[in-house]
Amino acid sequence: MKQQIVTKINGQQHVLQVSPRKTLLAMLREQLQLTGTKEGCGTGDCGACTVLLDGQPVNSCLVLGVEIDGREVITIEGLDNDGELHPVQEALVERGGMQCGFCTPGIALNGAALLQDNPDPDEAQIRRALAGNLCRCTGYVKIVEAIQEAARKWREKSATRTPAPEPADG
Amino acid sequence: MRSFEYLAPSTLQDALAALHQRENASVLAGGTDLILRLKRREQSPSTLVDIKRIEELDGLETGVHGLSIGAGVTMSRIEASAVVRQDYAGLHAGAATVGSAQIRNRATVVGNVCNATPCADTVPPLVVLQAQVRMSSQGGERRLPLEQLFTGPGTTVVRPDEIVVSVEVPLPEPGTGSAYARHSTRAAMDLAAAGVAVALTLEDDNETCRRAHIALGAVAPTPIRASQAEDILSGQALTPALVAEAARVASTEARPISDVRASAEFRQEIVRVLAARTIQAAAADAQRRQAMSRRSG
Repeated sequence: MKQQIVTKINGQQHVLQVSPRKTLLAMLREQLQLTGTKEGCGTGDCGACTVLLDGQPVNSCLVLGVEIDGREVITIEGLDNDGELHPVQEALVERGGMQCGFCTPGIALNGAALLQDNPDPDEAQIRRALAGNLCRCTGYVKIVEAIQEAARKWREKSATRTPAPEPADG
Repeated sequence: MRSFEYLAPSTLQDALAALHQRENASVLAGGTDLILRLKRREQSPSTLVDIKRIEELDGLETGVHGLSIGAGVTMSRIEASAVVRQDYAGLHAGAATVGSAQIRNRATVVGNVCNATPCADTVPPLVVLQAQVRMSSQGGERRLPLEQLFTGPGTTVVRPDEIVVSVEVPLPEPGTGSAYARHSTRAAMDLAAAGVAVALTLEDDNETCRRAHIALGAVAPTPIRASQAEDILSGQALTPALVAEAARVASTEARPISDVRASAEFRQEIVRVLAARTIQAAAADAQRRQAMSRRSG
């Protein structure tokens, strides 16, 4: 039997009827046509289905749609700011941090969450944060460069809005 | 996934009542293992009782008596806790090793314990830190040392009408340090082929081992203690030769199998290497904590 949930997706409130056995991933793609979120392995290993749940990256293939009742989800469709790309998206484009693009939504969201927590990550921290996002094309070098570039942009942006960010707690 | 009834009670009482009234109900916490098993139809419960809305299970409490890890506490919260990093270094290392950032944001410590996989990364550290498990049912509450929870791979003494509400870890006494290390083929997103956790209490001279606890993961049907290796260390100065001997004995206490991740022989050898490193790391952690407490005292 379907259950009613109330949830905020990409800033917009939705009242949805969901079957409990439907994953968040299936709900996003099939019910809301938010097909930017990809299904790779379906077992929580590849990260292609990454979304932000209350700001934190999670594998939407391992979350039930009913579990997000009252919670907030950001998908790749909601990462930009009114058409202005997020610094991570921008840097992925500029630095060639993608080839086929299948892993890119997950990497962009996970990278954005990383910068929120740690605006100045070193390479090891970036690689550790992205360990759950598999890319079979790039060899990761360009992706890591893109996140580093995005971090610089992110810090510049934050600096114009607010006082200099606190140094990251390693 | 077969269909099921989904309940998300907001109180422990309601959750326990639901488990009591229903046959074939499963408790859902982070879901990183359970939802996978539902998809593979390895498990097909008629009801899922989601416990993430229960506020009283969501606490990570730290205090003079120790650490209380509620059933809703994720690996990420353990990783982010300065207190856990400071006083429970082995547990911090175990939680930080699990899966990926995405998995750690969902997976819970209590879920890791309840799934009872022999390679669970938080279990050996919790065992050496002498954790207790608190279980509730409509009939009341009981507590067990974590070591006594497991009956085999994937099985525990937790009854179907019970919920593990928290894991309680006593504050390690002064002079105690802990560490955890594991080996896996890939650096991330892989299960442990073998894991070793050690907690050591040093005498005031900072060299003699008063007491040692050593636990091994992924090398037996359940996480096990290496008690002969512990005895070798107790009351002795931690010389390189003694550490090497304890590590050798620990590897003989492992009872590994050969599987897709490693052969039994390799696992045995890895336990020897990891045990030596982890004993040293736990001793260094004990000295670090000792120095901190002297400075603050």
